[in-house]
Amino acid sequence: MSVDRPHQLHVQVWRHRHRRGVPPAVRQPPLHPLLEYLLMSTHYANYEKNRPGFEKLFRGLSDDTWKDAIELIKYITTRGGEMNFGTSALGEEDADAPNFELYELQSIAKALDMEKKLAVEAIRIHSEATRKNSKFHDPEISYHLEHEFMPKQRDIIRKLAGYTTDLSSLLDGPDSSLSLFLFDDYLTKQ
Amino acid sequence: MKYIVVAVLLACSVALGSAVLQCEHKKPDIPSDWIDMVDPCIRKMRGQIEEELKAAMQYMAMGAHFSKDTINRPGFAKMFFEAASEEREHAIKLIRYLLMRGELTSNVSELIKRNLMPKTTSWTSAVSALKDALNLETTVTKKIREVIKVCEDNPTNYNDYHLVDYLTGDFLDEQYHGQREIAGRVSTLEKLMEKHGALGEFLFDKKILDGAV
Repeated sequence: MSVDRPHQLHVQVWRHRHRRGVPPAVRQPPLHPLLEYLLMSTHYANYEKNRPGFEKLFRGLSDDTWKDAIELIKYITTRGGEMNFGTSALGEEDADAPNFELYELQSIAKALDMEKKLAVEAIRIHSEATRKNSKFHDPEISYHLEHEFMPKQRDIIRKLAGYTTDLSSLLDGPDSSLSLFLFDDYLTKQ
Repeated sequence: MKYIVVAVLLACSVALGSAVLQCEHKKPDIPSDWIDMVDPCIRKMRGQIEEELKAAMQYMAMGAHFSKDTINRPGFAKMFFEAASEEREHAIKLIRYLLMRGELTSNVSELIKRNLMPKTTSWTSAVSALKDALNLETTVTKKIREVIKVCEDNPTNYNDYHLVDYLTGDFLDEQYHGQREIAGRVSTLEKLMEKHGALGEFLFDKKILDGAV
């Protein structure tokens, strides 16, 4: 059993923004999805936006990501690995300064993007653990991904995708402002 | 993956025939006199949010360290992971306070400017990690005191009574109790380890795991 392999799992949670090619002065510090969701939630909780439903949605995502991060670190150590703080495996992000103060539909789309990225990365790890790398076969990691990680990720992605469908059609209607109020109210009850 | 965001941005900005996907709405006209926090104090508070998150990440690194099979101290790991979540809660409490006072309507994206990655990620013993934790708490306490000072007395001559009371009664209270607890643990563990190093740490770890100390 390789003890190095589980290290790779950390990339699902610990995204590090490397901005190679961007002058150091404008380079942004790394941010984790843990904190990104927290900032998105904060934006919806200010008195001008005042969307408690969206605040709750992103706060929930932030809480879950935080708990998952701790669980993932524990999992890595159950496999004899150790958490590698401060490395990136998800590659470069866009060079623009991160913006978490978005309109409602945009923010859900951003969350959907983030979750899909995690899923894609997990699939990559899974394929390596099962067949791609001939020298390495790790049934325990594939089991863990299949049973612990993937079902959760599937549900989050499906939920967010559904929200973008609803919002896209609601915002296309005659009174999108009222639609947003009602959709936000719906989110507070989820 | 960025395509969805780009697509939505386009959809939000471009009219598609007669149907317009309307994302932007009228900015409400809200009187702003009720917002009375002053700039030096707001800046300090924003900085403190970062401090708390930084502490959270440092505790998370401690939790990760003691979870390793080569260290194997589940009690300490549990204690530090819990401390990490507590620090995150503190950051959220400060954010909620600012939101309550009408702040954080802009520049939320710049709230976290620094690299929050933990500097230290391994420790020679549980005692040394506990000592680091105590020093970390002491630093946070000092920073809270600095926030209080600025919010009480600043060039704008605006004493923010409510915030100062909140920080003094709520945050400092928790800091001092927390520091006393860690100091006590350092003391007990160091005494335990005087003659029986390995056994002392082993036993103390299990006591922490069971919530007995």
